[in-house]
Formats: sequence, C-alpha cells, structure tokens
Amino acid sequence: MAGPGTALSDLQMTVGQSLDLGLVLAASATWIGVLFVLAWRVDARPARWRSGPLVYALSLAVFCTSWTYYGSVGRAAESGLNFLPIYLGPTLVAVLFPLFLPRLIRLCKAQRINSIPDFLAARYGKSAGLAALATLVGVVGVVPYIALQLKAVDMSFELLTGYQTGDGGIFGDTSFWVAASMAAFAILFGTRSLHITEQHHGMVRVIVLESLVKLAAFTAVGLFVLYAVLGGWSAFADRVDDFSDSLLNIQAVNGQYTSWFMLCLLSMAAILFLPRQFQMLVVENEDVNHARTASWLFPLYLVLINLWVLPIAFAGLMLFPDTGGADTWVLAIPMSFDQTALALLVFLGGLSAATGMIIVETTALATMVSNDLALPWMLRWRGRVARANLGGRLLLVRRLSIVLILLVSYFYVRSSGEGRSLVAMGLISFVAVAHFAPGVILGMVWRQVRLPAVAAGLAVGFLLWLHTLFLPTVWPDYASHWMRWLQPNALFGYAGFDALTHGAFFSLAANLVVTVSLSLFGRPVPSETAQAEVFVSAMLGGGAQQGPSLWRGGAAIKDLHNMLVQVVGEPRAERILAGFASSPVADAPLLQKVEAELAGAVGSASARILVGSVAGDHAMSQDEVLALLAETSEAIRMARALKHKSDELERATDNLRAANTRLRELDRLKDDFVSTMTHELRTPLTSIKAFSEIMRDSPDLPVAERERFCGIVVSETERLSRLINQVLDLSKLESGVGAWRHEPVALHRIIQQSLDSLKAVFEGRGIDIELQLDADRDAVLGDADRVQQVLVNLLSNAVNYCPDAGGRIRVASVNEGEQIVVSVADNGPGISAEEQAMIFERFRQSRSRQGRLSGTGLGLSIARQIVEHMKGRIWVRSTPPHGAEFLFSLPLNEESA
Amino acid sequence: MSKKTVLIADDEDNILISLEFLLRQAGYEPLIAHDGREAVDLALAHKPDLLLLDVMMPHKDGFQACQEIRESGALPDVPIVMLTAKGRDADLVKGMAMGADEYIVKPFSTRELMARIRALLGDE
Repeated sequence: MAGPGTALSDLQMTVGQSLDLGLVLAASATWIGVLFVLAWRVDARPARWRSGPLVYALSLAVFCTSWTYYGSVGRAAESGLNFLPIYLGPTLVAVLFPLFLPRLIRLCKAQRINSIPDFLAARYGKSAGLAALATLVGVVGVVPYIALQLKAVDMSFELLTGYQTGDGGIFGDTSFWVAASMAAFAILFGTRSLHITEQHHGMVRVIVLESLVKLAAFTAVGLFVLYAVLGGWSAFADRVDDFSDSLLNIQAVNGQYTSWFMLCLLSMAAILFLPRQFQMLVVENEDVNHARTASWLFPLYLVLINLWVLPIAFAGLMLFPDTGGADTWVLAIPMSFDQTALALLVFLGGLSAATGMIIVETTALATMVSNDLALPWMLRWRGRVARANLGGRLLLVRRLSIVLILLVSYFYVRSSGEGRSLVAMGLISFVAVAHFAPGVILGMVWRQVRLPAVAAGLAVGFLLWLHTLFLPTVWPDYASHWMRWLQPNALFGYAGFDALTHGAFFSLAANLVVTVSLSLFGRPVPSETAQAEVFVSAMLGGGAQQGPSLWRGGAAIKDLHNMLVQVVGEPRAERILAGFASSPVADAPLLQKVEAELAGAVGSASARILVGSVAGDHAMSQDEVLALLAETSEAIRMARALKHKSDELERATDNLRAANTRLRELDRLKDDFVSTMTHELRTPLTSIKAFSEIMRDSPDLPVAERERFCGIVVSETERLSRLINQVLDLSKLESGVGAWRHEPVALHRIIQQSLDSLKAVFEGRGIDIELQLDADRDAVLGDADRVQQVLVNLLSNAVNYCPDAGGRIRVASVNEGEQIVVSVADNGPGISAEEQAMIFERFRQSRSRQGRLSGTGLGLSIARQIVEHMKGRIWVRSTPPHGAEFLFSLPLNEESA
Repeated sequence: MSKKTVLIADDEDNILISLEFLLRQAGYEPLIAHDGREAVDLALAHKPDLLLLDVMMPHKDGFQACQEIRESGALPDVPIVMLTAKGRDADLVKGMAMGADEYIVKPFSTRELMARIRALLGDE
C-alpha cells in the first residue's frame, strides 16, 4: 500500500476544489467554542443537568473515535468486513453489563477507585509499585491511540483545505495546534477539581453532544452516498456483487479467523480497560441502574454508526479506484461532489470524534500519572515535611501530564504515524490495555491471585508488547537488531499470524501464564488477602465493599488535619474530620475513613502512603494484620454458628409451639372429662337422693313401692361404685401404672369363664348364647384377668342391647394369620356408622340402648386400652338394625404354637 | 277444675320415675318425654302448664328444646325449669338466654324442687 501522504495528495487532485482555510478554522474554532460554553455552563450549575441513562449510554460512545469515523471505511476498503470485530466485542460486553457493571461500579465507588492502576493497586494490597507500572503501561500504551486522533484531524484538515502540513515546522503543523487546543480543553474541564470522584459533568455533556454530532454527520454522509452517489438502495444492491470480493469477504488481505477472534477479544478488553472507557463506565457513572439502558443503547449506537461503512467504502472504491487514502473517503466523497456544507459537517464530526477521545483519555491518564507516578515519588523523595500545598501541586502535575502526553503523542505521529493506517495504530493500544485484563478480571474472581504474580505478568506482557508491536512502529529497522527466534513479528520463528495477532497472542499469553503460575505457587500476604476477600465477595457475592481497617488508632488528629488540608484543602478537611475534632487522637475507623477520602483524590496507593506518613507508627504489623484477619474469619465462623443456633432455636420454638398446642388440646380434653365425669356422677346421685327423700317424706308409702324404690337406690349405688372403679381402672391403664402380668393365656378358657360369670344374667334375660370357637390356636401372651375384663364388658354390652324377647348372643373365635380374632355379636338395634366412629371414646354410649343395665360409658374405652396394651386391635361392625358385632384381635403366643 | 299438667323430659329412667311419683303425689298430671325431640312434640301437642327439662338429652338437648318451644309462640307464658347435672355458670347463663325461668342443679332436693314448681304454678 502506498504511503498515506502520497495517497492524500493523489486524492486531493481527484477531489479538486478545497475549502477556504479561514472558513475551516473559523468553523472549528466556533465548534470548539460551543463545546467550551456547554461544559462551562454545565459545570456552573451541575444540579440542573442531572444525567439520565441516555446520557450515560451516549457518553460510552466516546469509544467511537476518528478510528471509527474515518478508519472504518479505510479498513473496509482494505480488508472488507474486518472493520466489524472491533464493534462485536464491545457489543458482547455491553449486553452483559447488567450482570457485572453495577457491582463493579459499587465496588469502585466504595473503594474510591478512579482508574485501572488504582483498581490494581487497591486489589493487590495498595501497592504503589503496581500502580506505577500499570500507569506506565496505560500511558505508553495509549499514546499511539491519541496520536491516531491527532493524525486523523490533521489528515482531514489537509484534505479539506489543501493546506500542506509540515511546511512551516511544528507551528505550521495542524496536528500540533489540535494537540494544543485539546490540551487546553482537557486542562480546563478535566482538572478543575482534585477529587476525581467528583464527576466531570461538563466533560460528560460535551462527549454526549459530540457523540450525537458524529453520528449525525456520519449518517448524513451515508445517506448522501446511498441516494446521491449510488442512486438509491436497489441500485447499490444491484452493484454490490462487483465488489463483494473485497468488501464482503472477511478473509480479505490479512484476515484470518484467528485474527477475527483476536480482534473481538481485544475490543472486549478495550471497552473496559481503555482509560477513557473506565472513566466513563465507572467514574462518571451517576446511577448503577443506567447500566441496564446502556446495555442496549450503546450497541444500538454502534450498529447505527457502522451501518454506513460499507456503502461509503463501496462508493469510495468506485469513485477513487486507483488512489489510496481510504481513511479520508468519508470526507473526500462530499468534497468531490462540491458539497461544501456537508464536507464541513463531516469535518466537524471527525473533529468531535477526535477531541472527545483526547479530552477524556488525557484526563484519565493525567490522573493516573499524578496519583500513581508523581505523588508517590514526591512523597518518597521530599519526605513527610514537604507537604505544603500538596493539592495544588497535584493539580499542576495533572495539567503538565496532559500537556506532556499530548506532546509525546504528537511526536509519535511525526516519527511513526505517517506510514500507518489509523486502525493499525489504534489496535496497538488495544493490545496494551488488554494487558490489564488478567490482573483485573482474575482479581475479581480468584482470591489466590497475588501482587508479585500480577506485577510480573504485567511487566512481562508489557515488555513483549513493546518488542513485538510498539517499538517496530517507532524504529524502522528495529527488527534487524534481533536474532531469528526473537524477531518481533515471528517469535520462536513462528510467523503464522499477522503482526498484530502475533504480538497480541504472545504478549497476552505470557502475561496470563506468568500471572496464573506465580499465583499458584505461594500465598498472598495478609494485607492482600483482606482486599482480595472484599473484591471477590463484592463481585461474586455482592458482599461488603470495604475491607477491615489495617490501621491501629493513635495518630494525632492535628497531624491528620494538617495533612488533609495540604491535599484536599481546608473546607474538605473540616468536612472529613467533622465530629472527630473533639478527640485528640484518631481511632482506627477514622484513619480508614481518611484513607478512603484521600483515595478519591490521589488513588489508593498514594492514600495509603499519605496516611502512613501521619499514622505510620500506627500501621499494623504483619502479625497484627494476620491476627485481624483471623479475627475476621473467626467473626464469619461465629456468624455462621449463630445462624446455625438461630435455626435450631427456630426449630425448638416450632416444637414448643406444637407441644403447647397439644397441651392445650389435652387440657381441653381434661376439662371435658371432668365435666362429663361430673355429669356421670351426679346422674345416679340424683336418683339416689330423690328416692331417699321420697321415702323419708312419705312414711305411708306402700310396701311394694318402697321396695321398688329401694331397689333403684341400690342399683344406682352399684352404678356409682362401678363408675368409680372404672375411672380408677382407666387412669391406671392410661398412666401405665399397675402390674401387668405377662403369661401364656388360653383364650378359649377365658371366654368360657366369662360366659360362666354372666350365666345368671343371660338366664334372667332369656338370652341364647351361641358359641363358635373355630380357632385352632388360642394361646396368647398377656394378663388373663384383663382379657376376662374385656370379654365381660363386651358381653354385658351385648346383653344391654339385646331385645327384651328373643335376645341372642354369638361368641366366636377364628385364627387369622398369627392372630386370634374373638367376636361378640348381639341381635339388638345395632350402632349407626356415626356412633361407631366414637364408641370407643370415654363416656360415649350408644343412644340406642334400652337402658336396663345402665352403663358407665367407660367400658369400651377400658377394653380398647387393654387390647391395645396387649398389641391387639378392637373394632365394631354393625348395620342397623341387624345387631352389632364387637371384635378384637390378639397376637398369638409363638412359643406355644 | 282439672289437674295441672307438668311435662318432664329426661333420658334417665330412674329420674323420670322419681319425678313422676313426686308430681302425682303433689296432685299434678305428669307428661313424660325421654328426649328433647319428644319433649317438644308433647309440649306443642298438650300445652302443659309447666316444663321440667333435663339439659343432657339425646337427639335434642334441653336448651334446644326450650328455645324451640319459646320460639313456636304456642306457649308464651308457660314456666320452664331446666335440670342439669353439669352445673356450670356458663350453662346457667345459656339456659336463661334460651328463655328458661328456673335452673336447678342435680342432684336436687325434692322438697325444694316441688316448692319451686308450686310457686311457678301459683299453687302456694
């Protein structure tokens, strides 16, 4: 490919008429002026400009720089669909925003993290060394990217005006002036306040406006190309086949699938780890819920701005078939059609894309340089005494950093950028920031990752990046200095990848391998373990976002106050210390609070050094940190034990509640029993008393009448004593007190004895007894007297319910398995199903009884107690009015069987 | 003038026998019911001059019988005496609420019972 310089002049010939230099300068100045005013107004009244999710999503579009604006068309013309993976990666990540971004933002706000080096330092024991290394990687890595923007503005300016850069040295160079104005802008709006966590509302609004303008301008060119140049959509579709080889083939030129995959991976890292993206994603975020909107709106923006790349590239291939400089076709096309206004709009859109990126990127980088490089150095070399107006100095450092970074970028353009396309330069930066990925991502999910591993991985990866990607671009014959197996684009002699994929693969693989393997061997130091716990639990479990304080109390508040005044100024220092001023000595929580506040201003590593300078003697020793950690884990263990205990208590409470319910039920049953008992006792007493009184008050009662009444009194007295005996019996049975004999019992013999004992009653009532003892085996184990009690009870009941005449009772036995079943059946009125259900309950007499032998209502209840005690069962069968049959079963005595 | 009729309802035969004797001795005509249902039927059919109802009876207890007789309107002023072997205050209140005039706890004194009956019937 011909150098863009020559290509540009060729293109200039083709497009012909250029715009007036004064007009372009005036338009640029006006546009920049508008941005200044907007930023100034927003910063003056930030409360009136509360940003919503829309602003957040559009601010992320700072991702689309000149690279997108001009470079995509160039990339498409050069290698077809290969411009796309740069947007696929971010789209994939954006879709996942809701899953991790809110947690990441909360964690960073809680830890006062405002840059990637800060993140790394905070995660790995507040290491100043790691922060410095990461800053170095960030600054050096992103310089080509900033240079790219300067070059893009320069190129578009040259094309638009026909002005030849380089004619008048540095001061006649467009990119120099672009760099200078961008430096001014970044200084004014990026470094107004020391406290980074105080967000740059003005800057964000400027980015949003620029995002809208670049989308509008690019869309305008796209529509112009589609309808004015290509003759509408159908005409374009008809002719697209002519160019399908170059435009639609994803493998065109250097494209391989590995390259696609690598580009996707790199752009995924870039959307998170580019300093400006981290700034917008995390630091400038005002509400974590905005992440949800951004997860679809930002990808939509990417789709809209990429929609026009192919038509424009297509038109460019058509219009300028033999010239290079495809990076400027977006501008060249309207110019070649004499569309001055559109060309100017496109230029301003490109300017927006470039300035937006430069402002945010340099602001973010300057913060990193001042907090993570300059401040620790100043503190170390100037000692504790020289903290006078530290805050002011830091701001100065930041402003100088911005100037310096832009200056370096400018020289990078001058020395190397000339020969390279926009995209190639940007991709080198993508690889550089991707080196943050192992330390950041592993650090969020793996407690074991430790400082030396991350530092070594980053260092090795960075060196390989310098070797394979960066240095070859600034030093033309760099490769010739290396032996064959160390060639920058063919490490170990492997040349199977394109240069970018090659460099990215080897440097990132080295970083990852070193980080993981060094983490596997050795253990993190205690101060790291605390932070690891905080980060991993915050990201994976949504746990606490602050670790334990590693300070002991004891520093003098006065010293602390003086230090704070130096760094953040008097009012802020007062605010931080408000409520603590009364005490002369700072306690551990206060020191932690001060450290957190300082971290917001100067980064976590520097904040630790600063607090250490005041409370150095009160930092915990290694042993103390270990003890603290042990305490923390002890606290966690106790919390778990507490939870366990509380669960147990809950179970116990449930059991108690159930027991209480049961007790209430028993209490109610007891009340019922007492009430029923009272009734059952008073009823015979009533008869006895009534008849006694009648006989007392009626001396002239006939003898027959008197004898009848005496008989009633006697039988009611017997009923009373029977009742009392049975109650005693029942309570004895229920309480399990009382001797139970456990002996072999021949059941048939007991049946016979029971029948004999009631012989007089049967004869008196004229009842027929039918005996049908079919059981072959009748030996059971138990208490013979009790069994007889059951039988007598059942027989008495049967007698009670037998009709006056023709009463018949059938007693039968039968073997069923290992049981003997005995039944006593009468030919009385029977028992309804409803009554059968409760007939074995106490005091439940069948209402159908004829009332001759008055029962107590306890007999069946006692019978059931006895049978069940002997592991048998008692039940009733009856179909009124065909009598009732009571049956009980008892297990056979196996020994005698 | 014909004898005054007194309805007695109880499920205990022996108590019925004693009450029947006492009422006849005092010169009243007893009307005997063995449960609540029979008591209501007899009361509505014969319109006795006084009712003596046991509380714990099968099919329909004394309270229900008392309430039904009062609600029927057929015997608005006839005195009703409840007999109970339970004797809890709650039962007494319930009995009064159902429209009973007297509440006598078993075992009762025959003299007192008869005195109450005579008083309620205005036969002092």
